[in-house]
Amino acid sequence: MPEAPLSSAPLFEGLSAADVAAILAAAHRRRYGRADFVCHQGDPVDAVYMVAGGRVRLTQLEVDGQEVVIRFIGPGDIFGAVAAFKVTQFPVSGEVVEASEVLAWDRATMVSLIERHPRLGQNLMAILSGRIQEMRERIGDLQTQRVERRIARALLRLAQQAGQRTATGILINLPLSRQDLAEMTGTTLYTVSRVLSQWEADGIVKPGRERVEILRPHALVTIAEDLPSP
Amino acid sequence: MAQEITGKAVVADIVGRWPQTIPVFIRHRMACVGCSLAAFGTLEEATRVYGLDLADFVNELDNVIQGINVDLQEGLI
Repeated sequence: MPEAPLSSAPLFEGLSAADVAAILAAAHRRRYGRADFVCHQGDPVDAVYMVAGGRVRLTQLEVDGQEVVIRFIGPGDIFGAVAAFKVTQFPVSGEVVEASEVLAWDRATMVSLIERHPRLGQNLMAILSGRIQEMRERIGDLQTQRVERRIARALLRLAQQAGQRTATGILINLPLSRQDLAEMTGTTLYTVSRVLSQWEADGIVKPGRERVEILRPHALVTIAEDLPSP
Repeated sequence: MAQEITGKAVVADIVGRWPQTIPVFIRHRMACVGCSLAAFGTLEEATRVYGLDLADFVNELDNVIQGINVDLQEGLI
């Protein structure tokens, strides 16, 4: 398996070729076939793993039994990085989707490598920081979705009470300001404006002056009820 | 009775007048039952949104209303 690309992996940034070679030499190497598991959710995290070749899919089993794909790990990418810092369990399972070679540094080895090559520890932290940043963005997306659902539900309630069929959709036939909508949904005027503008661009609603027309009722229901798109 | 239903019929009217049609919507995984906008949407619009054939769907509703289709349980959990 060619190792040239591995030396440019984020984990090895700023390290000399000799250091990288020493770090790679300290790893255990294991080959996996397609559909093999590198780790199982709930197992103790015993090592920092790097995919040298191939591809591993990290999945998480939700409480309802649904399997969610968290990310794909390709050559040079690592997982289990937290093993270097904390005794914990795998929050994910790693399933090989393309025959893979995986490098593993057990905790003691990684800790002593970090002591010898402080840059390695810095790189690990940079990688973990990136993952935290990603998670923060995902949480932000979820919050946005929640606000969108609240606004969609408010419009549905209003349409049910004061909706009027038009040639193009359903007009909510009452004076309704964006501030009213913000108050109904416990959010800000700014957020309501941003969401309505997005929906207008998507052709879902047509906000007018103190009037809102729903142009694609089903799209709004899909947002409000978190339904899969038909 | 069958000829009363057309694509212009409003979903809420159909479901309200003939509750036995509810399983037909559910079987097609349509979210129309209980939807706050069901009073505004026609069968034509609903089938378009879900990519169903209007004539087939109306036919299914007709059958249920006339008590022809007794195989409804199949679509229910």
